[in-house]
Amino acid sequence: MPIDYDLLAAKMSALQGPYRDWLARDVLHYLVDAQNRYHQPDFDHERLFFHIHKLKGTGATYGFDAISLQAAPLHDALSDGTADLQTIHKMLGGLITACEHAIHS
Amino acid sequence: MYVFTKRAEDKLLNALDDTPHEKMALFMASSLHNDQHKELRTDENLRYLRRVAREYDVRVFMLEGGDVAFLFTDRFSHIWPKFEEAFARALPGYNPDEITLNTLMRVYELPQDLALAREVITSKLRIPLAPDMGPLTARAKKRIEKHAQEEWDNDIFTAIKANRLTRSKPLIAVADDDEFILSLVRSVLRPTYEVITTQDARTVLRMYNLHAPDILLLDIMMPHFDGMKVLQEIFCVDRDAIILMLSAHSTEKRILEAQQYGACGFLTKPFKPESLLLHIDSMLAQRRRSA
Repeated sequence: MPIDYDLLAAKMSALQGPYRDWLARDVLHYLVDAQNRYHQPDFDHERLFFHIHKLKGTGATYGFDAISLQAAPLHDALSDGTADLQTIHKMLGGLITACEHAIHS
Repeated sequence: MYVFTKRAEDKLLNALDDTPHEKMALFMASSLHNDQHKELRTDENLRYLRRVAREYDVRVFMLEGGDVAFLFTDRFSHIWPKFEEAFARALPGYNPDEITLNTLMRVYELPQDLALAREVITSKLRIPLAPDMGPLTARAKKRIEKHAQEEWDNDIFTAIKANRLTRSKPLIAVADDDEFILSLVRSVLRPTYEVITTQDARTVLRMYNLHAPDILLLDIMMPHFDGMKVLQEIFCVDRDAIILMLSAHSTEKRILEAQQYGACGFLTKPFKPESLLLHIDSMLAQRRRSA
């Protein structure tokens, strides 16, 4: 069956609103907080991984490619646990910027 | 050859996993043994059980005194050791070295006749048909009720599967814990296709059995869930299943593993909606060809 690209674009546009709302409401503040508190011993790494996993898997699907691009290396770094604090901090910064761009796009 | 006995049942319930053929075996053994489920011991149910057993390549013999024997064929050779272990623990007299399924399959063609089957088992194979009946534990009862419902669902599934071709629209089922993926798939695929979704990994098999979708999109990594295991379980009930795995971790090993288990494709997250539509189109063509 041929793809109706106009219809698809219209559907995607409608879906992006709630996704942006979610980024603004639930994600952005959490990522900023994570960036500040990642080094603390009581920091919940599992929760951070869950968010990054979700952002990696959905960002580009919803048309925000930069989010997935920024989340992917961070996801890998958190998975294998090899990256140092500074690298994680920097990666979180890149992801925060990507989310901000998506929210205001 | 394994003989289920009332005495062994509780121990077996604890020893076995919840794979479909084991559930079926437990359900059959339990319901046919259980004094409190006498209503289940009807000719109609026995015919039903035998029909299900044929689908699973398991032969069932109902023996006098309430014992039920199961003969598992080569298809389930991977679970033999587990059964042997469980029986060795549950039945002190049981000697797995003396009788193996392979030997049994080669040497005996066990009769479906109750009296003959009993004679073969007691005289030739010398397996004791344990007679003593104790009450089932509350936990066992609960599990039996749950399994009974699932097995009846499987029966319904067979009928629904036959109606796949008569649907006005193909039915796509999606299992993913991410609500954003589910809402995107629903929005992109509707109204061209019917779409059903679940976020709860525990309900995937049940959803599949109840609706017999034309295609299943299955996230490989959901909380408390092994996508590969569910993939195998679905192919146990539906050899024609068409399943596309979704994952954010698409290593070559993972993709190969999914293909070996029967998945027809792998869609890496993030994916573009166009890519999803192309996959669906190609899989539906496969469904039409297989029909």
